[in-house]
Amino acid sequence: MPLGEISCIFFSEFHPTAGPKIVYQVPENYISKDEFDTVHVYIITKPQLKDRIITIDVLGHKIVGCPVYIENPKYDRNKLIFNLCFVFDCQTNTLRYESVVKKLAGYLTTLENESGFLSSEETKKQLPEILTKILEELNRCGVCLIPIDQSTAIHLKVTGDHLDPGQVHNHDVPIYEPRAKYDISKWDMATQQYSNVYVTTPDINSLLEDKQLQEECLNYISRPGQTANLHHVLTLYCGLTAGTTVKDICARHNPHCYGIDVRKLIQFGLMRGLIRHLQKYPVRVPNDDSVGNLRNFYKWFNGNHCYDEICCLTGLSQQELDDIVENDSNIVICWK
Amino acid sequence: MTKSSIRSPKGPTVVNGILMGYSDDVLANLLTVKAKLCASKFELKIDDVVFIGHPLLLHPVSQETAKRELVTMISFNVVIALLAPIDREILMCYHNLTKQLAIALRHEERRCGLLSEQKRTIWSIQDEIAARPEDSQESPYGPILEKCRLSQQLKHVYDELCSSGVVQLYINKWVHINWCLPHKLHNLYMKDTSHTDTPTHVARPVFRPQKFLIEALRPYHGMLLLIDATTLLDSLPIDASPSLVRLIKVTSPFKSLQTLASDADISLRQVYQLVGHLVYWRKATIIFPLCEANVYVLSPNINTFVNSSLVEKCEESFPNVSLPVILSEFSVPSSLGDHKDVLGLPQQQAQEVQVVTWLLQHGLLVQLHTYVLMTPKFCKSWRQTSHHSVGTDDITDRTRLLSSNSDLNSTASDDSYSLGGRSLEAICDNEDNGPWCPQPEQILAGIRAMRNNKIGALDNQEELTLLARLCPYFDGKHHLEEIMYAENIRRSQLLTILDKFRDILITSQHEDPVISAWLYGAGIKRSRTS
Repeated sequence: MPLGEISCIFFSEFHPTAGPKIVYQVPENYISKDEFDTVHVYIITKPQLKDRIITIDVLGHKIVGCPVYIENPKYDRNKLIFNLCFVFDCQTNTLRYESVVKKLAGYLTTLENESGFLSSEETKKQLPEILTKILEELNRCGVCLIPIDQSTAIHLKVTGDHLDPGQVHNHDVPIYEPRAKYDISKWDMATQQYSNVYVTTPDINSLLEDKQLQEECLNYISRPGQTANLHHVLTLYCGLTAGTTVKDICARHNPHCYGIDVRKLIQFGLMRGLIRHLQKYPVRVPNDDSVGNLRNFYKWFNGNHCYDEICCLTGLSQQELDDIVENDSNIVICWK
Repeated sequence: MTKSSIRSPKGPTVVNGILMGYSDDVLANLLTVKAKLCASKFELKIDDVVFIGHPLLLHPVSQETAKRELVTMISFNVVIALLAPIDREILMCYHNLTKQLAIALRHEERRCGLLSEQKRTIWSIQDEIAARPEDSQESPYGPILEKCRLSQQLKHVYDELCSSGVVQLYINKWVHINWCLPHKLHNLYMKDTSHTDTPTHVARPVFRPQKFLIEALRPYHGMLLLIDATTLLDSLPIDASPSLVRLIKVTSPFKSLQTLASDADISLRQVYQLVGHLVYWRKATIIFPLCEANVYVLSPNINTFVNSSLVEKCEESFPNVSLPVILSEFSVPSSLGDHKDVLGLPQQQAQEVQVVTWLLQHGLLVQLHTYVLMTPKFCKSWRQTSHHSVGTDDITDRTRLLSSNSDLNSTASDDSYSLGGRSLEAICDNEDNGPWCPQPEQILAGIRAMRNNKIGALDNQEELTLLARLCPYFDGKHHLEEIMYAENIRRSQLLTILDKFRDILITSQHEDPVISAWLYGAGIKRSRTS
């Protein structure tokens, strides 16, 4: 079983006389009765834990389930308790399957509430077949569609894990992923700032090693109708150092002649982490003398705010801010 | 049954350090495991909370019913509750702590009945409170914490987990627990110096200490102690390795690990292990030994806040130095040599070195190294053709090279014909047989092609030979210092080569990823947008 795939799916319920048990599993006997008895407290749980996504990682298995309680006087003991669980190898990162398990629990609840799907032996018998399909399809392509009856079908999709995106500041600038399909030619990218300073990161090496990245880069940064070459691209990227603005680089190398669109070159470098932006932080060294009409601005000069942020929030232009900073000998600049 | 639940500081189901939404009996039901699950890792995740623990049987199964006393205490579990998602490696680190604690507790139970005794204390408090009239009942946990040593020790563990990430104590004044969460140790440092307040074990790129420890170290690296050597020596346990003591005594930021090995008379391999150990516990960090040519710049994640505690700390160590001013001076890369005031008094020069050392110790500076990239147009594309499908650029480049070579050949003697097509084939064929070491003639041919046959100052055969020898290092992964070390050449020789062949060699300046990994996680990649 390749890592990351579902090893087994089982349907368990609380039997009115026999207690917690596995009713169906595919493949059969994957989880032994003995193993189930050891962990059933995490599968057919106390009512306080109903509808929670529970993962138990013991005995070399990782079992992901979501216990369901349906209360209705028609059932023995007035409730139906079941849990449809996915089983994985204990090394698997199961986070991306959690929403599938939860959704499936929801489907079964609806099916039971609407047509007594689980309480009628006739329809319940279809479960092994359904579970087999889910197991095979999800392992094969991560998506499955299983018709149950004329009006109901089960749609499942395994989604990728995503880290939460970072915090967005007012002075941040949106940029379009070239791998996604957008027509960016019609967008006004008011982001062109030649006074910005960038530096290379150790990842710049990937441009030498990764053929695909090279091609992607050359396609993205070449001017229309021209093809830039990697030598010039690397020369420009590596020319970016602290203390050198993009304007300086342009003056030094004339990227236009190399068929390179500098704005796109910078964008690509930022998106792929080949370069990073150095921000300018004005810091006012604590001092008694202050210039009266500028005192309002001092709160921005505590080292926590960069130029982009200050300009964005105060409405000052970079030039006006530069003037203030340069005329106050107590203000120093940190680039980071 | 004894259970302790240590709670992580924040999250939707963990509020103000308290695990919310679980009644005591539900927790007891979940965390008291069957005998079969004992003596191995226990991991349970419910929505956003991960419970990690190590349940143990108190006595071997056969003796279970031998004594009457045991019927009431068969197994116990030490569990830590954490907010998910959490990196696997960090989780395993926490598991290791629960395991250490559980084994220590079982040892103490067997030695002197610690758990049974503490259990009786807890039960009597609970009974006493339950017996009170209803209006004067209170939670039993306050009084338990007051009277029960076990609770106090577990609370101590919890407090240390939340604050420092280092847990060092004697359970029942007998069993020594010695544990740290290196991720937290190293990130805590970050938290102190950065104003971004990301939860330490979620958003940060995770760095994997064990993988870095030995294999990334090189003889030319150095070690910088983060605390005073005497304090460090005093803090070592009595049974610490004598080699470690010798190593710490000879350590200096000016020495390479190789020098340290010979000064302390231990093998380099052992130095790596000891250094790895010190770095893991955040007693030291890895640097390149201090020298005048070293270039430093501000570390990208530092806190430039003017009222930070660092500013005060800096003033304490160097009363005449203003941290913001020093930081602004290092905003542009500058070498230790640049920064030293040549006209200054020797004491002033010494202080400059001390300031830089201090800045390095506090993670405020990173060293920039110069790496050399030989452009793909010149040679790299030949190397890659055997590993990747041939791109059109490659073909164009190769044809361009070949045709210009044949131009050359038409005017050259028969001998030099071999510089053309055939030798290129040979290069391609040889690729998989170890590193690519072109002959000077091949390099020459390539350069001719690049320079459209204007060879100029290329006659110096010695330089060509050296260039050819150094080619394998020009892949952007070897900094100048490493090349100098590996090939035993002087900086001036190397700089001459870089200058002479600057049209085919590109230099790039950035930090040594091995060193920066210790400063801010697994490389700088994630911090690129901040």
